[in-house]
Amino acid sequence: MQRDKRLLLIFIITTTFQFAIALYLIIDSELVLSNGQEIKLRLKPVDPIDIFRGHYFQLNIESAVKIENIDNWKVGDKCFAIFDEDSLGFYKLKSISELEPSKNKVYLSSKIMWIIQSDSMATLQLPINKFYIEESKAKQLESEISGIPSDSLKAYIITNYNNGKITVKDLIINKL
Amino acid sequence: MGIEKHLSELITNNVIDEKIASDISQYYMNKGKNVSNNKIVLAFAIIGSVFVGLGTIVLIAYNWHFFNKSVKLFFSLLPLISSSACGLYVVLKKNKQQIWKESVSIIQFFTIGASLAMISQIYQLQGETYQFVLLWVITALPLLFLYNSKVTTILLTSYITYYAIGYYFENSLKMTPLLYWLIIAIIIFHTYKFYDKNKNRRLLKIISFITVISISMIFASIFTNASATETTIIRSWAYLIFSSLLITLSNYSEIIGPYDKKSLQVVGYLGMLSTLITLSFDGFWQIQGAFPRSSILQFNMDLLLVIAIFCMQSIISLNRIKHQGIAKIDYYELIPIIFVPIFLGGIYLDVGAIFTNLIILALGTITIVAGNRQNNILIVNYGMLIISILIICRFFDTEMPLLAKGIVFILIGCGFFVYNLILQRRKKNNAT
Repeated sequence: MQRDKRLLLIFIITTTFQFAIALYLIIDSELVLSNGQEIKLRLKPVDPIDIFRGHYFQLNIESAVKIENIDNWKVGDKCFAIFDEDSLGFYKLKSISELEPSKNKVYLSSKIMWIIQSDSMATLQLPINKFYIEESKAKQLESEISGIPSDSLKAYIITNYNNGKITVKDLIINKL
Repeated sequence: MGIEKHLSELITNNVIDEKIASDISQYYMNKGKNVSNNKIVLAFAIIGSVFVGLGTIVLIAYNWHFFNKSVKLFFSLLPLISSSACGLYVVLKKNKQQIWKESVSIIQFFTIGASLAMISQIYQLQGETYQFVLLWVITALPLLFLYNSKVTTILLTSYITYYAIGYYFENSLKMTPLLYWLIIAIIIFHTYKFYDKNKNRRLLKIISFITVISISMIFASIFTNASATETTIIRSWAYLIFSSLLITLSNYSEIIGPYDKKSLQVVGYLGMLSTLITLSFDGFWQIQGAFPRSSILQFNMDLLLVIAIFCMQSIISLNRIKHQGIAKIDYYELIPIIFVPIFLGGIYLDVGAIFTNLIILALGTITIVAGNRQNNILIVNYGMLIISILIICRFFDTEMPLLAKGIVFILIGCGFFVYNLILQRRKKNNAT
């Protein structure tokens, strides 16, 4: 009897823990969606597959940035990528910072992937790179994209942004 | 039907009568049936659960775009809710039956993944697959302590290994996946504490092999000085020490607990052989030679770690020699110590490859002789495997001059003929 009670207690703790994680993911995303501002980012998508989460578009957001004091940075360093809005209403990567920027700026925590010393350029690993999509839609979109020369392909994502957190809402292709 | 033969012999010799013989025969037939039935039920329950779990994952991966968000959210939590309900039933009603616990644990493991995957799709949660797998493993980890399911142990170990590989490569071999080491420690602790060595040994064997292979693979991740290519030599030495440590540990049944000692031996021997074969190529030492020699032994965290492991391995081996005598020691355990002068010589004098080849040849020969002495065909075959691999590597080694290759091959061949002659003579002498 004692053993049964103990087992039930472990069951309750385990299940609560599992639901807590699932609910945390939901609530955290809902908070960004309800409180965040909408921002758009240009990209060049391709279509790979994740064995667990299905088809998605690799977003390939422009992630190369010119840095003034390039010698102070090395590959693998963590940084904050700061975005600025352009005249057409799209957000573009402008600079990076070691310290967290002020709340009125749009920024994402990221990591330096490559550095080209001669050009003072760094490529960042941004925390947004996927857009999950249904299997048949992914294939249809993929064939549409493959027919468009990469120069004239115009694609962007609509996201919601709130204090360094971002949630992807939609992927738009060639409707600019 | 071995028992039938023995029984008829006992009847003929009037040891037992026919009635007793038929009782004995009946007893063994029923016993065999029960055992094999139980095993089949357990195996089918496990296979069934894995299929249902994987099917759920694939269904979720389909991405049900035509539902609206709230319907999708409901469906995302449905696998978790339904499998938890099954779990509650098992905890309350069937908590003494391992088949139920195994099945429900596997299903819960996969439904956790399915729920997390669907939430990821709905909210477009970012991150690489290995990060998703980590979240899945952390969420599913308590299942181990709830159901003591061996298949869940296997699943968790495999998935956390996937995470560690992804993490280590994503960070350009410069960051140790600390969470892997923490979670694998929890899994090992659980295996020690809750699994009986004598129950369900087949699954325990699989657990042992998967755990040892996983640790051997991720062992490299403790070295984070990836930018220095010259430290490859240090890593090779580390793998030799690690492999011999596995072989040493296999002798301490009180330390390895429920783990199968064969898994440590097999992974240890094969790990050592593959490292030695890599070191037997002259090209490996040439690459090392391209760097300033002093930089190979420069002081860094990697070197410090290797020296620490080396000291630990040496102390254990020396302690064993002191207490059990040198005859009881497996010669493979001494390879890391023998390799200290070879590494130093290899760095400064370009003799590393020659000595490594000699060591492999010696190991192969000693293994064949030892197998022959113990009358163990498996050990003899392992010795043959070592020498065959060495021959294949050297035969196709284009860096070796043809003349030297020819002479060495003939000499080694003659060596084996001579040894055979000595063996035959000794046999004859023993017979007379």
